[in-house]
Amino acid sequence: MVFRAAIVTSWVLAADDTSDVPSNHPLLSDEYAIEKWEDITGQATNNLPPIPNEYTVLAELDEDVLAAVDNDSDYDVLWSMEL
Amino acid sequence: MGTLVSVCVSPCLSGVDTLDYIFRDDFTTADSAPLGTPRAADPGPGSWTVVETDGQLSIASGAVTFPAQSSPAWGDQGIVSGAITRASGVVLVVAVNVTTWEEFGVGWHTAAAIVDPDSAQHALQLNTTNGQIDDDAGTALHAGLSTGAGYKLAIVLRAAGAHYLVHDGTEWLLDSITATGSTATLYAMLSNLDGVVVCDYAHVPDALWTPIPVASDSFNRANSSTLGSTDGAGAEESGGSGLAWTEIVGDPEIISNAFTTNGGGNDAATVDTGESDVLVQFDSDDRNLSIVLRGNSTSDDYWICNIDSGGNTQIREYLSGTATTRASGAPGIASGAMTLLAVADDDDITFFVDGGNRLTYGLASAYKTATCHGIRLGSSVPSVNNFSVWPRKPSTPSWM
Repeated sequence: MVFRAAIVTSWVLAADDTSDVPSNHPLLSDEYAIEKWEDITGQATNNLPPIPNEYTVLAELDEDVLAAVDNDSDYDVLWSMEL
Repeated sequence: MGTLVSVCVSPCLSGVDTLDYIFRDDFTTADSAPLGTPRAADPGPGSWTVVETDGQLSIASGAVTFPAQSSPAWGDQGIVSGAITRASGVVLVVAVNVTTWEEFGVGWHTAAAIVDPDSAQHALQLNTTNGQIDDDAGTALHAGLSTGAGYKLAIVLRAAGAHYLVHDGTEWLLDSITATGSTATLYAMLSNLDGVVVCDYAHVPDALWTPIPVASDSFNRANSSTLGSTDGAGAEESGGSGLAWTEIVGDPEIISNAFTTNGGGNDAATVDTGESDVLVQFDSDDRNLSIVLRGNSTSDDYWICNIDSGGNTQIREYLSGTATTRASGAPGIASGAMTLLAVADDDDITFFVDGGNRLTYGLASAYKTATCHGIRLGSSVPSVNNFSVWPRKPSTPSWM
């Protein structure tokens, strides 16, 4: 089952991103297999990272991944619903 | 194309401003259920085949009502016109007011039969999600509509493919463009499953109209280390020529009638279209490239809709050359030829690959008035053809 969830995550800054295409992005997408996510906070790019370093993404993810994120103290699952 | 009937378009002047129709039903004359079949369009020309296997249609107050089926099955309720010949610019316009937002569709079918709109050649269909309209591939094109309000749906035929538009009560919005489907004989179809929908009219005017690109480039010109200007031939519809390409990253070139490069990739260029709310579309021979949106040609501030080398998608904002990923999807699109389409409308950016794999970002307020759009190549250097930029809010004729 796939769920949609609003999840609070921190930013990984482009300067710390070792991928081929460095970008500011959520830590959540580095640590979990997320099918799709969208930033729903909209923090201005020139004010990254915010203090505290957290923002909310709307994610689509499998049930077991959601359960793992929910049990990870690095993240807060604000709500979720089955799609 | 069939019998033509002329009617006046206000103001009606003798001998001018008349509009002919290929098909027209205003559902003016009240009629109780069932309507029966065949049924002459009112005032015409044209006639419907009416299917009322489950749920009977009725006409009152100048509109036909499609009731919900009791045991919903596609094909058991709807109306379909006689044959209409495909031509670029033939438009089906249908005015609806939805009472129950469930599955109901309008489109062009390849036979005189009622089917699931997903099986039609070109269709717009109400999704079970309130206020959402999908295309015939089941891809969400439009959201935020509501019951109890009047909307218009239009599907404009191309020689191959169609333009999909929705009038949201305020203005016409171009939602998508396709280039597949070229059946010569088509039938206007309204098919209902479990929606409750009131339809004010269904028109196919004889007048032709298509959106016109504000920029378009086929890249069919001699190899050159500079891109030159758009040739206006990147789409079936002519337009958008003579705009100078500005290289913003690297050194894109014209090679073998395509936008590509001899270098290591990561090259980008844009054209200034004068429009910020647009649809940008092009064909690529592979993954690992981006649509560039809302740049300004003088700084490294812009948006991209990217498909990476792994077939995953991202919407990214660039500020002074630094990327921020605002949305990401992992559809795992296979390598090979593909069509990319991005829709930029105020704070919303929507990205499609091959008419699906939809990715959205709804807080794209940065640079939202910038008018330069283009192409960015990844390191594997795919090549691009058929670049076109379309106004999100095209100027439409009065009869739409």
